[in-house]
Amino acid sequence: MSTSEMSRPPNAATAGTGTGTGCPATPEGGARLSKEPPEDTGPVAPPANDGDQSAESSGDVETIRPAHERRRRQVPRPLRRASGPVGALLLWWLLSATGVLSPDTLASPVRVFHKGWNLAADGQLGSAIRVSTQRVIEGFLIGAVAGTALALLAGLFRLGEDLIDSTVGMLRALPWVGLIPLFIVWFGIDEKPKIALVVIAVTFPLYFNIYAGIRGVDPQLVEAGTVLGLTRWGQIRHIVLPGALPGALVGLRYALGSAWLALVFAEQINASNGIGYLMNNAEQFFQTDVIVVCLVVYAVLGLISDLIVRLCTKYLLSWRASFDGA
Amino acid sequence: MPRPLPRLLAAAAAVTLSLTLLAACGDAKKTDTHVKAASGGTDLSGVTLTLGDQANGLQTLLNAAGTLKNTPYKVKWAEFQGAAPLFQAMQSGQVDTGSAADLPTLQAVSGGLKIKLVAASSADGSGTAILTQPGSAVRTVQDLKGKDVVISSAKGSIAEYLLAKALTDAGLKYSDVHVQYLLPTAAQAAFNAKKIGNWATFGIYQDIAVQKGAKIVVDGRDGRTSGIGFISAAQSSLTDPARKAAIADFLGRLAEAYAWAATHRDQYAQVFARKNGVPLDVAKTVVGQGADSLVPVSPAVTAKVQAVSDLMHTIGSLPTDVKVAGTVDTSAFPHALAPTTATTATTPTASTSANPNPNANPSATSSASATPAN
Repeated sequence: MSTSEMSRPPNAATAGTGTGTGCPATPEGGARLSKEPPEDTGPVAPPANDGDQSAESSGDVETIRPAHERRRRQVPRPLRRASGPVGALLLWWLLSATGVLSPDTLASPVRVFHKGWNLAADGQLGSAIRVSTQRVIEGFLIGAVAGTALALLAGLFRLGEDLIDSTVGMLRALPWVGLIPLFIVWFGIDEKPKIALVVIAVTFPLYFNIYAGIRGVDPQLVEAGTVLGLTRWGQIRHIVLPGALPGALVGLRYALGSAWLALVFAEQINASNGIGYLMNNAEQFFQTDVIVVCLVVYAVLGLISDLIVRLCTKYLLSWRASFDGA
Repeated sequence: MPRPLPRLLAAAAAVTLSLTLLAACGDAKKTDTHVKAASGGTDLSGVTLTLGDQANGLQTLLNAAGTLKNTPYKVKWAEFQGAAPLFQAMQSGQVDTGSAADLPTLQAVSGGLKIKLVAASSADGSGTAILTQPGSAVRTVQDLKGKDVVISSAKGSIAEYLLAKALTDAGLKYSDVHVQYLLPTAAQAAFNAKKIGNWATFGIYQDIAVQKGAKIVVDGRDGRTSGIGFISAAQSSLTDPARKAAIADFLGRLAEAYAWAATHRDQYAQVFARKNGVPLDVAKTVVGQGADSLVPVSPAVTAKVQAVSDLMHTIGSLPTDVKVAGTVDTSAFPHALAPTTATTATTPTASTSANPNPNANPSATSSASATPAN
């Protein structure tokens, strides 16, 4: 809601700076650590809407600090974010070491790390990631263009919606693994069918989220735009598209995830390299440790994809004050 | 720090729950229907045998032959599309026995799965072939030099072995052809659409393609493939005397079914066509290529398969050097069915005599076994 941005005094930049993502791990956050005012006598007056009337509780005065100062004494955010995966890893190791998890059920993290190290050392893992990443990027670019274009046509024009939306809804319901034989007939058995599968995996999540984002723009904003005399194009450019961005970014997050997943199936088709190939091959030869290594790689790639989307969000939605968790 | 705690706790709780569930999965088999060791080996009513099958192969055969009726134990079928998931299920102890060709079984052994080879079926090898498009210039194995060859189903399959062996026999190296791997269903689509020229495949995929005009460059007869398939059992199932007795009885019945199929090809083909929805002439071909007997895993069988294993290891399609003899357990099926004229087996002549009496020590003693008295 940009209205709350407007109510701020223009020089309140030091307080929170309103990067809607609430990541205080910015350089300026670090800089603020050096000066530690015991009481708020600095130039920073907390904005009036921080509500510091609630301090009158038991007679003695309690100093209320703005949120960004209170946060300082906590564990840094990246560390906190890492605690989940690290905790899971520790638990996995513990359960394996104590024998609760038998090696038949799940290889121990130590063994998986060893296997991963060996695969990385002989170059297999690196080249698999390289090949798969290339397939994902190619498929993603095509799918992103297709999904975005379709969503814009369907979202912005009623005619587009009538022609496109139900068709996409229908196609989306097709089990795309079952399309593999058809793709082979159409595209042969080289790179094309693999990339086509990635395209399919990327197109739909992007389409649905962008379309919903466009249609979900606050009608009051549209009305305000009309009152202010924006042209049709001006409304699209200043209100509708920015309003659809959050949805589009959710779609992007989904799309990147599915793109990697599509490879597991895509790389069953005449592949001699790639993470999906490694995984399918390991299944053939019952190398559960290799399968787990591949799963870990997928997880890490998913994390990296998410990180990219988070950065995009931070950059693209910096104008938007949003709720980022209590 | 009051804030981050709930989130951490929630995450930790979720992870703990999922991992504990995973650990519980591993133990689920222990609490499964574990029968008390049957005294005297006669009462098997508490045993439920879970028979693993691929593409309804064994089930069709046993139904057609009718030899799996009135078993003294309960029978449950578990259906799998392919050998890998079947073996995984055997490894987990959820499935007692499975049937697969020699190479998928070797793959499972190379992966360290806890299975034993308890019986072998033998066929003439015509159920594996290298096909080429009608009108292709490829006529002999030599002509494959420098060409692309698509192999089904994957690395380390029987079709790959046939290609490797045929090339070796023709004086070529395995690296003289460009190998590509495709699952049979996908390869079938590609071959029909003329997207691939040469295809090393097997069984029903081969027969349907040949029926549509594909030419056979070479097939697996004359020792180019072993023609051997294995019935394997989960090690955990063999250590339980009652369960092992049930497996021995089942193998006796399966041997009868093979014997029946060898003499009733047409009847079997009709059942096969009905059950799998394929034309009768294709079914006849498939059935004709099938195994004609169940035999014990004799040293001769072991040696044959060891040769297969060694060649695959040299071309890098078996990651470890498998010693076949080390995974054999002949105690559940030590002797082939006596060569009687196969009956329709509705009268359970052999199967009643196939009443093993497992002694307390379930090791390889041929006295405790299913041996028809005749």
